[in-house]
Amino acid sequence: MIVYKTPPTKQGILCALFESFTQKEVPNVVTSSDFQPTFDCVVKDIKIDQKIADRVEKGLIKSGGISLLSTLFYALRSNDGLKETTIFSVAHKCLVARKNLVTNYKDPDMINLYEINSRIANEAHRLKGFLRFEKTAPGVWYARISPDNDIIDLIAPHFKSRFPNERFLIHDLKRNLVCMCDGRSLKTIKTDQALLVCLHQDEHNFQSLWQTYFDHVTIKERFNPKLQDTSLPKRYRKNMVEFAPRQDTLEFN
Amino acid sequence: MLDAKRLTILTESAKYDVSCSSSGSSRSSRGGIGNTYAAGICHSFTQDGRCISLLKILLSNQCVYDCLYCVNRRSNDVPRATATPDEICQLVMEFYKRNYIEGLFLSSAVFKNADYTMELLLETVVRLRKLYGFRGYIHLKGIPGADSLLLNRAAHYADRMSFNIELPSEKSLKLLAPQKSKKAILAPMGAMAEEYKIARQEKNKAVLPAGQTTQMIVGASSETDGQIIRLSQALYDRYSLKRVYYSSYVPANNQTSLLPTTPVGLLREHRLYQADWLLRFYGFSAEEIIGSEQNLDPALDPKCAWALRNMGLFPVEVNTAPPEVLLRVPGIGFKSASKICHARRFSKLDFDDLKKMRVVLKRAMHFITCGGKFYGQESLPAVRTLLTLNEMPNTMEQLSMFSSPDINLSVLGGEL
Repeated sequence: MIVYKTPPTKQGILCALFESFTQKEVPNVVTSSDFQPTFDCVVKDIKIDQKIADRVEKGLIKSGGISLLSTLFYALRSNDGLKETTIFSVAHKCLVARKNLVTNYKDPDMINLYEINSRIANEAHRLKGFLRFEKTAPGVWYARISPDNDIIDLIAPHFKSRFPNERFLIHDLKRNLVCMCDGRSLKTIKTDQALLVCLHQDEHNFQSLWQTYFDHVTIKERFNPKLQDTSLPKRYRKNMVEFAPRQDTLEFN
Repeated sequence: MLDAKRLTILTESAKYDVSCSSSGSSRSSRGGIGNTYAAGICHSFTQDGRCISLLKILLSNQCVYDCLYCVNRRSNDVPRATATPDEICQLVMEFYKRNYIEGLFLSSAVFKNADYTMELLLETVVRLRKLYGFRGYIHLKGIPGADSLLLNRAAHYADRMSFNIELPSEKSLKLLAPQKSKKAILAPMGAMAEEYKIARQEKNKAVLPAGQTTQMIVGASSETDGQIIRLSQALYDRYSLKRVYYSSYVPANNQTSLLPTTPVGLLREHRLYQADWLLRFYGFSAEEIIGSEQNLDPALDPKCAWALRNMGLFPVEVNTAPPEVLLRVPGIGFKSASKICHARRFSKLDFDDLKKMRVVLKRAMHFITCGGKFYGQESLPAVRTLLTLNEMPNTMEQLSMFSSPDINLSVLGGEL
């Protein structure tokens, strides 16, 4: 069994492809995480060489066009443990066939890539709706997210074009990434520090109005929490105002 | 600013309108705040499983009408409230900036008269667009009977407008909503459709970019599903509506002998939506789906039912059937059909390949061949039984001494 260890980047996968073709071998696993080797296992560390990566990239474009590249590396955002192996296998097959094979869905690698990419796209779409901004005292909008996949770069442009001239921060708590928008451009940085957020004085009022709205728009005769759970999985709710505890209950009937 | 108490009243009064979508319009934020996204975005889901996309609210629930099915009818003893146009605008902006909503769904009870109400609705929308620079989604309810100049002006500011048909026939309207008439509802709808057509011919995308919709209450009156689906088809054809919404009747008022006392099952509404999808996306006609005096079969989805009536057209060969024929196979939808059409360009597909492609074959297997081979059941009654069982997994449980099958069925029908 052959295992390639690479960084979880485009260059890593491209260099792994080069290694595989020069050594005339096909690795069983390509991974970026710690791999527990069994004793019939050969583990190779793939070294990054930008020149080699560029060469392989050109080869891929020749085989399957630019769209092949974007389909393949879109999947790097996934939390799927097999993503590197899948991307590698699809790329390898396309290079061998000199053809774009990604829609040949009867091949398990192709359908895996399709599903990994669908999961990423679906989550990005969902979070465009589920993300909640809070107004901070200095007037900057702040949102916490904890998505399964690394989708911050897919959703930030949406908010930038929706709220022109607004300054906002989107904080991925799982990956310690913060995407900042100063009203003009986006910048993502990694930070391990906890952010201290001081909310604007109006914020509480609007959060509580939203909770009021949320509670009263439900049709009680149609109670169907199962359907709610499928459409809005519980893991997203911890960052959503309407699922936070109610501060002051309204006595009104 | 709108307080919690009035927000509660105006929300409770608006919630029975089922239209929720924020789709069909694509506009940038240029020169303002907010944009629209063609596919629409759901922002939350409530405990009834419905999505929240727009802030669905009434300007006022003080109504001069007395429609029997409606929670806001004049003779109902419910708390009443009215908001000012500016209060609505402020709330929309604050909610929108926090990404709670995709826009506004504004409606109102008819207070004083239709024109006065429509004027206030229009004022709200114009204020939101011009004063607040809001470029997000606006769905505006048209008030039937309001002056056509007001309605036409509103069409230049809203993404989508809707006039609710409410009841699927003139007879039911007379009985349950005596102050409304079919003509008063259809006339503005037709005028809007005309406006929309002219604007499109002039390549003017600013007029109702997301078109018109309507809503019907199902189960409050005696129409069959066949009549309802025919009405929908006519609305799609003649008024180029984007969508017809169906809303199962929920008793919101004190009982009257003219209306059912229990909520109508959700299953009927579900089947109607399935049939509606067949009309809009799968190239079916109302006549194919159902006879005019019939109701949809609760045990089978309408596509399955159609296929079983037309077994002569099946099985179809997955390797050669054109996409529109694949779409008519029960269990194969857009995703599966697209996967099949892509994959078969590379090589012939057999039954195991379809499984590997994660095409759901439970129903489809009885209606397709793969490379000439058939894997389903030959006899029609056997297929029917299998498909019916597949449809209702919840009712198939081992009976215990204390379980009562009646209760299980009523749960499925949404009657509890």
